Amino acid sequence: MTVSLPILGDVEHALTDVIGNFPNAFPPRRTPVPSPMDDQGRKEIYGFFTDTTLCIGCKACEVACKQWNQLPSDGLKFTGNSFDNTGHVGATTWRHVAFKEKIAQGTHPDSVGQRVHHTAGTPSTDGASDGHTVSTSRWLMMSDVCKHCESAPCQHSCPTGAIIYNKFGDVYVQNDICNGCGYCVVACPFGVIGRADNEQDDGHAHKCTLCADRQEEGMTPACAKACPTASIQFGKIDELRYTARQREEELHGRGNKDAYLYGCDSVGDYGPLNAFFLLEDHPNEYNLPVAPPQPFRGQKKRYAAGVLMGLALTAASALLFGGINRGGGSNGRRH
Amino acid sequence: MAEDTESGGINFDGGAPWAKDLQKKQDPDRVRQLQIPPGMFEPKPLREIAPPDPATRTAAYVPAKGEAAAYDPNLPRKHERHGDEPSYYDISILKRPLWGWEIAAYFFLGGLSAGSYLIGRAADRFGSGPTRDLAKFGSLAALAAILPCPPLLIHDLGDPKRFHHMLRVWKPTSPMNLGTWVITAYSGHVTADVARFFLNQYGDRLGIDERHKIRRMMNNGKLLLIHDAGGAPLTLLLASYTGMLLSATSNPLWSKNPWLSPLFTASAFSTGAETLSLILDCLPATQRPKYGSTQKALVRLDTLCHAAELACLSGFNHHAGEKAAALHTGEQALNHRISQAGLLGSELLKLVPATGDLARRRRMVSSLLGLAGGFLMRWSFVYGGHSAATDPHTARLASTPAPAKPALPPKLKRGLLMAIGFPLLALEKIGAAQRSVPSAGTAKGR
Repeated sequence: MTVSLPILGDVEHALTDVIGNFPNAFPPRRTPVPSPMDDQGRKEIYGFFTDTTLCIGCKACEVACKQWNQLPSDGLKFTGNSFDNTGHVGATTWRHVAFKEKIAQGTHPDSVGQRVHHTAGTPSTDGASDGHTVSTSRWLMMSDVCKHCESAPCQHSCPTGAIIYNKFGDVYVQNDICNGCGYCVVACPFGVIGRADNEQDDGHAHKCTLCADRQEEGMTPACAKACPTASIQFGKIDELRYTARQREEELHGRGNKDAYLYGCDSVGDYGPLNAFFLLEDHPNEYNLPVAPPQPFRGQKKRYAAGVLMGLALTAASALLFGGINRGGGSNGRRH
Repeated sequence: MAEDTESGGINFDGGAPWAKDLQKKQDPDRVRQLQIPPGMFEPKPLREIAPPDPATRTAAYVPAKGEAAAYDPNLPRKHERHGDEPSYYDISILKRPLWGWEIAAYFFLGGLSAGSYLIGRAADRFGSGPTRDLAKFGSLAALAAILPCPPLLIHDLGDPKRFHHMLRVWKPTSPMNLGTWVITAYSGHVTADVARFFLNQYGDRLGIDERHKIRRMMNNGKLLLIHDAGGAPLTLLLASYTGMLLSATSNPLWSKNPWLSPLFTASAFSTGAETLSLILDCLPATQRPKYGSTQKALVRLDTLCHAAELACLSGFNHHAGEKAAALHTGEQALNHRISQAGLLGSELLKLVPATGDLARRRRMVSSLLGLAGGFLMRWSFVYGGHSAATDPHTARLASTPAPAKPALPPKLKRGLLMAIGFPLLALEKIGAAQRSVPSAGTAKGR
């Protein structure tokens, strides 16, 4: 039964609004999600395997991602860096195709370590040289994406619990409770997650969701679906790792000894990544970190160091103030 | 046929009943959108382009500021400065931090608040006489410093609701979440302290005398002990968690540096001591003399904190190595140098002999210098993170495994072994000789 007071109409309205919305201040606990750490959860984890040897740089993944996730444009700009005008993965670019031109002519000292690049078994020799040097010019292309770490620093750092591991093992940002503090942005050693600052979105963190909405329907993520050369493969992570190792062996058998897997096994402080890559050059050439640090390791020790310093200085001040009494000159109490 | 032409060549008579209504209705917005503004298709006059001046055509291209590395072929490109280091067009791996002046100011104020509160409580517990008044000044300064902190953080987040979102979970793995809980609890804690002092001083005028339930409860010794026992860890966390927050990131300057948290704690204490010293110096002249020895203790404590700060800073630089370049070169180098100069200047001023009012003024300038140094230290660390993350070289360094420390040269190693070993051997021989003497004596005695 509600008693309405005509004079206090607005006040009553405000009060009922507050009281009515009071339960919303304490939202119910979200349904528990399987941890990627336990064996039962691990079986169901899905991820990406990006084979850069197959990438043709068509940017279909970038376009498909933007379309499906309705991401705003990044503006028209020319970076002058090969065909890459996007630059980096970020809040509004969840797939980014990197283009790296590696021009090496004959016996130029800057040529890429004088490496022999076999294409389909036959080395392409440089006509002008003495026959020992070979053309080493290459065009590296890679579709970069969130790595969906099993122990993700963005998830660790998130102060609101907005970043979670969802039931597919993806690292997922819940935008309704993200408060845009920007801690995940500095926590990520891959520089993936970004904060949107555009008209539609006032400062929330965004990154690849691994198309969780499509996965719900049993569909492949948009980028993997759009990839015309199967450079981006999506599937259960264990199966992907198996095929990736097979692919690496196949390439080695063909003579491409430079091919290696990045993130299939542990990288830096991290365990195997859920989005991993087959690369042909130094990770930094693709803007990937060599040994990404896990900033939350040794956290307790660092807390302890600070608190101990505080304790020491408190003790010092206690001694100093206690010493005043002993030194005399004040009319304080004496024990 | 005439009907057909009216309805666009389609006969609606036998069709759906809604189709004709649709024809009659006109969307006002649509019409407005389709209106062509006058002069839209009129040709615009061509921009006049001045013919190239032959004198300037052959002149060297002068690039704009910051453009030199990209366009001057004679200058080395940015990524070539570090040799043949592999990189992706010199784009940084990491994202630029999004924290600005609000966070720097918050780090300073939060530290100052924690420092002055703890020093005040220590004075209350361990001091005597007028020294115990520091508790009152400390709590007041702590409350004054912590009050602007939530608005600063909310300004950074952009919405008060967003501050609340951090309080809907308890997630101590995130230093920011822990810090939010700590400042929330701490503000209440300090407010209780200030309320106690206020009631003790002005309670009688408000009709709340000493026998009142509230005042008896507030001044209850056991409750005060519990209050302090709970408040001390809270305050220590507030002083130290800001450095910890920065060190739990992948930013090259801050990442995993164990010295950052002690550095910020030491700075918190030094700024707290300086604030209290300033408050004592600003008191009316009649009240000042009784705090003479308290001032001396505060100045000594400040010196101790500054020493700890410098030790932590050198430890920080040693641990970070080349990754700390953002503090020594670039945008924040000046701020960082000024902060260190402020710290050293405040210490040097303390050595200048002065008496009477001159000593007070000297001490005040020294405190202000120290406070400015503390603030600029936070500022240079927060904004230094921006330069460190945008510099592709340091960004790569953050994720490059540190090279193994060079082993000691064999000669030095042998020398050290000998330097330690020979005295030990000598001691051993002396000991053996001494042991043999009484045994020989006993043997003789037998």
